[in-house]
Amino acid sequence: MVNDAGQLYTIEGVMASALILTTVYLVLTTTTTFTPAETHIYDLQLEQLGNDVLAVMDMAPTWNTTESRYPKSPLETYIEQNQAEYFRTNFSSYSTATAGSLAGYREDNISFNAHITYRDTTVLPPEHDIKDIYFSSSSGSDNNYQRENAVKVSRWVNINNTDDSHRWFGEKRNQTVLLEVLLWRS
Amino acid sequence: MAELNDEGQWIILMAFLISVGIFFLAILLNQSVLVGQTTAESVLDFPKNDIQDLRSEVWVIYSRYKTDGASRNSSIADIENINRERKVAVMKISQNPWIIHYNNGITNYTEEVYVDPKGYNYFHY
Repeated sequence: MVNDAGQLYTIEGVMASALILTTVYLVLTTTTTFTPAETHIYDLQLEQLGNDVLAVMDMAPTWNTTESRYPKSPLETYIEQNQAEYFRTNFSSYSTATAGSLAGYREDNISFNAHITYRDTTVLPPEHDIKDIYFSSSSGSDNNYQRENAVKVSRWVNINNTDDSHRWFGEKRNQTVLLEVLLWRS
Repeated sequence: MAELNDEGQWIILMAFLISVGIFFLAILLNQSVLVGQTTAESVLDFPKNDIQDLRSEVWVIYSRYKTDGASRNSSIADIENINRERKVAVMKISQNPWIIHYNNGITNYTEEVYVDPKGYNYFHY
């Protein structure tokens, strides 16, 4: 007669190996999907933060009561008069403020690099009429971006570029330029 | 034939039940990560900030250059031209009635911006 006393142990062994294999598979798949998911969530938060900061800076602190109710916003003044240092100070403090930063807590470390794109209608066809100029950055120089994972936020800014005493780029007319800010954590 | 000792069967049964529970929790954990990823991707794909920014800028242009047609037209041309160059999207702005149109190939958005005849709107993003 065949001895079948070991059958239960065999089945148990098969079950145990199935358990181990499935667990390993689940752990590995969970690990691989976790990394890209985190990047997306951080990108999302950083992009929203940057857009909010630009929206705040592009809002005039008071309203006019006259018919044209849009006085110049701080951001418009910074760009119009090349006040890159004011832009740098304010953008840094708005974007890196954390709860309790006054009490000596460590502030968030966000870096940025801002460029302005404008249209110059006076150039002739071989030259391109859309131009780009460096405006401001967290380090004060244009070469501060290396290869970190960055997001780009932008804001349309309407400027009155008609005053020759502080006009520093573009042609002399009322115009809308695009401010583009590259944002990353470093 | 040797007697098979089956006193441990309850332990094996309990082990099965517990392992089923652990599998269930692991699947939940796995799925929750995917949910976070797809949500973040959807929000990143949708150009909410572009549209809000365009709308607020149209308000500024409308309000600031009510009697200055040249500045109004050149500002609108600036937006349309720079946008084609720097963002992968089409923005079009019509005047009277003021309609903004945005299309980046995935999201297509058209809105008639409400303009109060007296010009007393405090609508700004």
